[in-house]
Order: sequence, then C-alpha cells, then structure tokens
Amino acid sequence: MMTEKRLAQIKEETLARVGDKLNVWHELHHHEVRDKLRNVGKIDPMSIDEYIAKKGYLGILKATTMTKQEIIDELKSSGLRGRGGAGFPTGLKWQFAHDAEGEQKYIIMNADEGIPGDYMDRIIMENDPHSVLEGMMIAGYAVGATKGYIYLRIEYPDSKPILEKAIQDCYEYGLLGENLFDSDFKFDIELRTGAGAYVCGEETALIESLEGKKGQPRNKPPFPVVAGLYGMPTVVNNVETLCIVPQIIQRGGDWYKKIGNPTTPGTKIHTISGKIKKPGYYELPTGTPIKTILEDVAGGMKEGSEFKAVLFSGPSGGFLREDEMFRRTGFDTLAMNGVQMGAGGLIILDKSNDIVSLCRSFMKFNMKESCGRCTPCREGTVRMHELLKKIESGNGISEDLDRLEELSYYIIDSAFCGLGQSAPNPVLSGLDKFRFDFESKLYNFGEDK
Amino acid sequence: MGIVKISSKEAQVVKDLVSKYSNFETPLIEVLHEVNRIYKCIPLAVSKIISEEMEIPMSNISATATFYDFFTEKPMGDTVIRICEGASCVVNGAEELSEVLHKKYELNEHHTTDDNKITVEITYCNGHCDKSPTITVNEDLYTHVDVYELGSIVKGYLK
Repeated sequence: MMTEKRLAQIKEETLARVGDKLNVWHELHHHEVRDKLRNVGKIDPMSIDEYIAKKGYLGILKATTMTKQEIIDELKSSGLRGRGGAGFPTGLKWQFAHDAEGEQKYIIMNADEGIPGDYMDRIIMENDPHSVLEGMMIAGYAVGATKGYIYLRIEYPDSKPILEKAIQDCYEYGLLGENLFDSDFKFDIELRTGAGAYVCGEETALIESLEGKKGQPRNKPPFPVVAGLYGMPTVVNNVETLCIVPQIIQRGGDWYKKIGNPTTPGTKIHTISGKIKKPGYYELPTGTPIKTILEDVAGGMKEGSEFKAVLFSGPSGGFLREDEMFRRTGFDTLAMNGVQMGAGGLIILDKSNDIVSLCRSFMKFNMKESCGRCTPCREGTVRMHELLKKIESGNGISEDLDRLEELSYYIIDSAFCGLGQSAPNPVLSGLDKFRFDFESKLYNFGEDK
Repeated sequence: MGIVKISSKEAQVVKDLVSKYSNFETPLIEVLHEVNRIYKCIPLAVSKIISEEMEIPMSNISATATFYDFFTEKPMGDTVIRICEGASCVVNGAEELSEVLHKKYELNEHHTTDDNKITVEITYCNGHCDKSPTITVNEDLYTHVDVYELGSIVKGYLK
C-alpha cells in the first residue's frame, strides 16, 4: 500500500540517485511557462520513481483527505476549462457526474487527438504519463468512479508502451487497485486503442467505439455525464485537462486562476508547424498575443517565406490575417474573430500556400472522416468538395462562391455533431478573409455581373 | 485478392484470441486489432468465428470492421504506406507525395498494386506536425519526406 511516508522515501532515494538530472535547468523563452510540461525532458517517462521524486502522486494523496465536494469546488474555483476544444468548465462537468445517479461511474481520458496540427497530448503522454494517470485518479475519486479508460488513437504507437508501463507500475506500487491510500477508494485504469477514426474524438462517438461499435455520435441529451459508457455517468476529459489537475489540487485553485486570461485561466500548449523557423510545442499563458507567439517564441517565418495567414485548429478552424495578429489566445477572445482556438494547434501559411487548394484539402479530410450518420455532413461535405475542386481547377463561376457560402450555413445549422458543424469553417473564413484567392480562380473572373 | 480461407487450426487461434479477452468489457476493437495483425485485414471467415464466440451479430462486426480506417475486409498489400495529408503536411507539400506514388506504381481502385505488394493509404495526422510532411511505412515513421527521398524509402521495403 502507498502511504505518504513511502512516497517521501521513494522521493529521497531517487533524488540521491538521479537528482542532478531531475533538477536540470531548461533554457526557455521568457514568455514560456512550464506547468503542464514541467517534467518534460527531465524525468524518464518509464520511471515512476522519478515522477514521484518530482512531487508526483501528492495530488491524489491530498485529494483522498478531502471530501468529494471540496475537490470539485477547488476545480470550479480554479476556472479550469476543458482543453480539448469546446472549453467546457471541468469542475462543472465533474459536478454533474458527481450528482448523477448510477451504480458504476466511469472516467475516460480522451487521447484521440485527431486534429491535424495538434500533438500536445502526445507530448504529455510520452514524457509525463503519470501526471495524466494521477489526474484520472483524482477525477475518479471526486465523481465516485471506480474505472477509468484511456482511449488512445492508433496513430500514436510510441505512446502505447509508455502508458502501459505507467499503468503497470501504478499497480505494482499500490497506486491503482483496491483500498488505495488507506481508504475504501478503489480505481482501475485500462488502456484501449482506437482504429483510425477522427470522429471518435467526439465524446459520444468515443464511447460508442469503446463499446465495440462503429464510432458514430449519439443524441445529446442525455449527456455522457448522465448516461455515457454502458448508460452510466461518464466523465470524458482531454489529456491536457487531466494533466494539470494534480497540480491544481496540490497548489489550490487560486494559484491556477491567476495565470493567463481571466475567461480562460491557465496555460495552453500550442503546437506550431508550417512555414515557421522553430516549429514545436510551447506552453504559454492564455492571453498571449498571437504576434508574440509567432515572432518571439517561434522565431518568425522560415527563411524565404513571406507571412500569409495563421490557421487555427486545422481543418475545422479558421484563418487569421496579418492585421488580426494582435488578438490574444483564449476561447472567447478568438471566437470574436470567427476563429476557434480549438486544441491550440497553429499552422503558419506563407504566400506560396493557396487558400483554395488548402480549403479543398481540408474539405476532403472532413468528407473522408464524416461518419455518415447525418445527411448534411455526409452529403454536404461531398458537394462542397466538388465545388472547391471545380473552383481550384479554374472552371468555377461567381455563383459557385454563393453556393459554397449557402451550403456552409446549411451544414452548420443542421449537422449532427461538432465535426459537421465545424467542417465549413475554413471555407467561410477563407471566403471572408481571402476572397480574392477564390475570385481570381473563377472562369468568369473580372467580367461584369 | 481472393477470399481468405482459414483452416480449423487457424480457427482455434482466433477462438483463443477471443477467450484471452473474456474478462474485458466489450473488447471487440482490441480483438479486431489482433486479427488485423495476423491477416492484415479482417477476413469474413474470421468475423464469423468472432461473431459466434462473442455472441455479437455478424452485421455489427462487419459494421465495425469496415468503419475504421485501419480495418479492411480485403487484404492490404505487403507494404502499407500511409501518407499523412493532415493540414500541416499539406502546407508543406504532402499531396504531391501521394500523387507521385499513384503514378509510379499504377495503383488500382483499392490503392494497391496488382501484385499486392504496395498499398498507399492516406491518413490524417501522425502527430509529428513540426517535422512535416510525414509518412509511415508499415510501422516506421519518416519525417521531412520529399519527393526525391520518397522513392528510395519505398524501394528499401521492396525485396
């Protein structure tokens, strides 16, 4: 059994052994912070001892001395919002699941990070797997769940052995199983893999997939917090959300609330790719201007590239032009500009990237990944892809742009789940901000209407 | 690409596989992953055995086995090349890569060569967007791939 004394003992032994490595100083940009990524590059992900030496599992230890409501209140006061893209307050989600009645409750970690351009979850899982396991345990304790599932996407083969080892170590150390921390709390974690379907990142589709069915979203309501996996109350949380939970419990909600933008407190890990000098992952407080992220943190444009736009959250997001670079990150601040922050992936485009062909490629993605359940998404994405292809090949006419726009709004209004509702986003954003790119490709370009 | 027939010995392997997961709740996808590792597809004959053993209707198994990108009912080629056409790979020119492969190896409608040696699939995001464009060949990841490099990578897998 794991006790506070045993944790302290492991910590001391490990620090004596590899203390120098664990406290190594990383050179960071002055805007960068390391809350979620605090252990990245320092601890060996395969070693539970090294995680414990970095104050690991003190969060769950403290949690078991608190009441369930106290934990949820701490989460609520921290203002933590889900980092998967929707930004739903995590404390509230846990409250709903806590209040829901069910003989068995479940925690699911959504590690089906499918949005192209985003890989922050992979970085966390492959460098600090125990932080997410601890987050799941705290979630389990707070809502009264005894079973946790990790739904890992199959495209991350390197994450799987690391998570498997972490789970196995937890059982060996008595951090998972029955009668944890001298209480009647029991918790199990099981790792499951997906099979390559983007739509399974949607929480109800993920639950269907865990049940062994095809991953098509369910009707909401009932929401998963009331009736999720096997009809039982289920909390589905993102990797990045769960990894910060142990620290919020240890350091208190007030600590977290002070970081970043007040409406989206905390930090966000941004993954930056495309035509940029230093692509990679950066943890920044929310509310950082996008210009700062690009020019200061990521080193500006690649040599020989001229800036055109930033694409937020891949094929379901939108573009930001140069004149919008002063915008600050955050769920609400970006939504004002017709862009969703999503999971925080930024793709930088230069003048050689054609917006029409990118939109066509994104629509192909949405068309291929549409699960086929509802007609607007299944058929609409195909038609939009056809229209974009027609425009790209130079055969489009000006009416096609109107058709694209009309179709976009139909799909947004009537699609069943988030995939369909956000599929037309890049096209609308492109038409709004880079209309000339579309118009210059039209067959009757320049003719009077 | 004929119908995969399985012997009674192989059927036993599948039955053992299913019983390995008997303590798990709804492990169908995990079972299908194991089958996929053996046959490189989900043969109908195997689905039938799974359906009997796990007491799931055949139609449900077929639905699951055809829904996901990593499962097919027809065997894939010996070498499976997955080209990432996620947003950042496309920005860095990934679409050219699949075009080149389609032209060079004359792939049929199943994106496979007629001798069943190569299958080219399009995938979305391997999570290495900072090193785009990326491809995976069988289970090996290659990053910063360009058209010139692509040929030599693929050739390395053809014996």
